Amino acid sequence: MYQYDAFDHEILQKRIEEFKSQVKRRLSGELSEEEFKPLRLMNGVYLQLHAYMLRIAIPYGTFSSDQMRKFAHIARKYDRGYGHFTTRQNIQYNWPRLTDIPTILEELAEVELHAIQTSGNCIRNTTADQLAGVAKHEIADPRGYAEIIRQWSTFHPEFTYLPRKFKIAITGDTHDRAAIRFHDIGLEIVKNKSQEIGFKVLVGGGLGRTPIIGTVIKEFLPEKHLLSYLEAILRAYNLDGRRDNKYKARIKILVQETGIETYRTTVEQEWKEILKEGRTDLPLNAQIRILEHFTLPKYSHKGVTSYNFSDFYAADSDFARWINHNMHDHKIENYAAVTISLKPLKGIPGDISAEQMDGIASLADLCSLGEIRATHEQNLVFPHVFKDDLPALWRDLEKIGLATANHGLISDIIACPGLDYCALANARSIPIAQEIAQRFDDPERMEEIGELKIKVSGCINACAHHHVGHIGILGVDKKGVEAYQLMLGGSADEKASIGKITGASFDAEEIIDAVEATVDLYLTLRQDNERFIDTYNRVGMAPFKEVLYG
Amino acid sequence: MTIAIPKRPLRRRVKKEKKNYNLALTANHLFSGKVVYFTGSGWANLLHDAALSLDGDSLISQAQNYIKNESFVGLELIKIDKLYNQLIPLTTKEKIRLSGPSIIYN
Ligand code: SF4
Repeated sequence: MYQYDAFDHEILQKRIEEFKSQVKRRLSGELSEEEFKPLRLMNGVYLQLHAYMLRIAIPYGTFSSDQMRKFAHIARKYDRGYGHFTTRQNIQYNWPRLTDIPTILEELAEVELHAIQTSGNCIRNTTADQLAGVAKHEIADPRGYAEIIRQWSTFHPEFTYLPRKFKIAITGDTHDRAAIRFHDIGLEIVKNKSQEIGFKVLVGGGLGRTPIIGTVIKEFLPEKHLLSYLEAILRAYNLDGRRDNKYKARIKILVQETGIETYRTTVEQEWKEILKEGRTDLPLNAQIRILEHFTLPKYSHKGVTSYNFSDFYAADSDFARWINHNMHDHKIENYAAVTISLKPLKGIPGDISAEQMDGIASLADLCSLGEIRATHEQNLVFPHVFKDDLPALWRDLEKIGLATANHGLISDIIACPGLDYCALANARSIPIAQEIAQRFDDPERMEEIGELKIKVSGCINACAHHHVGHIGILGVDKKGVEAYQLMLGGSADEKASIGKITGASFDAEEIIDAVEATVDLYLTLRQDNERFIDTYNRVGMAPFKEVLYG
Repeated sequence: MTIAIPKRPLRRRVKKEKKNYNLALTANHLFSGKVVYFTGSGWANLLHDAALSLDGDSLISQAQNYIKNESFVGLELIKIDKLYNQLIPLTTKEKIRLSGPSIIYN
């Protein structure tokens, strides 16, 4: 994992001092709310329905057991004993007092964490594949490049006031778990014919009001030119992106309006200029120094093994179920990565209590070399587990209520905070996710249904990525009453697609029945072991409409 | 000192309604973010204590005197129903603001 150097510590301290003074001046009335709001947003502080919300960055979703302990401490001391993992690999607290936030940030800085780049019209925290570094078929670990982007983009003077927020995602695997096609810039690590590493660069993807699949702007960008090319894309956007209309200010609109060819030409021209200046790309030794933080750890197993994995797998069907769904292949023989589902029955997607955080931190030390990942699907991952440790890990996770065997299944639902917390929401998301999970609460039924991704957003901002759910649900406001649109056929992976609306919206009870009717129809229509999305792609919308609306 | 008026055109939204609803003025406390309601002579945590009026403008102008250093933010006029002497916000959003998240957290 990346360790801060003296410079990182220094800029973080300066930032905290600056924000401390801004809060003080706001509380004394020296700063007006209008003046203060953009400043607090730059430090991850939002005002929600009931309280402030503080969003903390987890760069590329990788963090340590010590950092998790700090999250637990903050939840207990300054919040209401829990935190919420978001769909951008961040964590947020729903109840901090503004007066406490500078102290919280000081505490976070002790473990190299902060809230920078979690809000505002800047380059946001870069997200990455949660299996980065350990995925069996990965070309290269994307996190080193994400760290390079972090260092380049944090407080970049040219990109602090972009037309709108700007999100970058990166993966090193051809199977896209990072939804790179739905980011302002998506990066996929690839190799050229000479086996040199580089990036396929996509631009102009996004969700929200105008969902668009990103377009390839460069098939192969040599590794050494990562920053200069990103800078060229950002410069072209910063110059030409619309600032007159918030809803048309994202890069996706610029790319659509100018056309990818014109936009590419502008970027190439900018890039030439930047290359001439010759100061943006990292010198090779600096790049190597950063990438070295992300080499595979030395696996000399000193875990908690008292089982033989295969014997236990054969003997315990609940364990076998958990393994079948939550375990992932690993680069190293006899090791695995496991998803720790934050979607227990009746739970709130992404929520975790301080006690569970402490439990996870201890288990990460025992079984995952102290390393944890946050996923954009609101789960956690232990990336380095010796297979014979899995039975003991599973039993310990059960004790803290986190051994749900549902990764990728119908109850592994992404839901945004919705109207229970969010000031922008039209409708509640969490109770809908809970009701659906409850309706399908039968392990055998869930297994029969197989992979099915449901995503529930409380408004068109699409924080839960409903457009790319196999089944997507969008909360809408019908004269002050909550209603829900249903969408089918979205996908966030390498076969990206945007879901289509089935028809008229449903009320909060009807939407659960509508989801069940959709799933039941899929089970009757599916051939062989087709997943929901495959069946939908084969048969189209018509039969689903028929069953939903008659 | 002027109040930061919410971006959405409140009065227009309210006037569109055929029925004339009682209005209350709500905000969040600057220090804690807690939900508060304007009482006519200060701010309270309970909607029960809120001042009601059919005239939103007058509520806003009365409240000006009780917002020293803009220590109440996110001001919003909300429509209120009265049922058996209980004050009930009209929208789900305001009901949730009043009673907290509808789910059991932590
Ligand atoms: S999708 Fe809308 S309701 Fe949900 S968290 Fe985002 S802004 Fe809030």
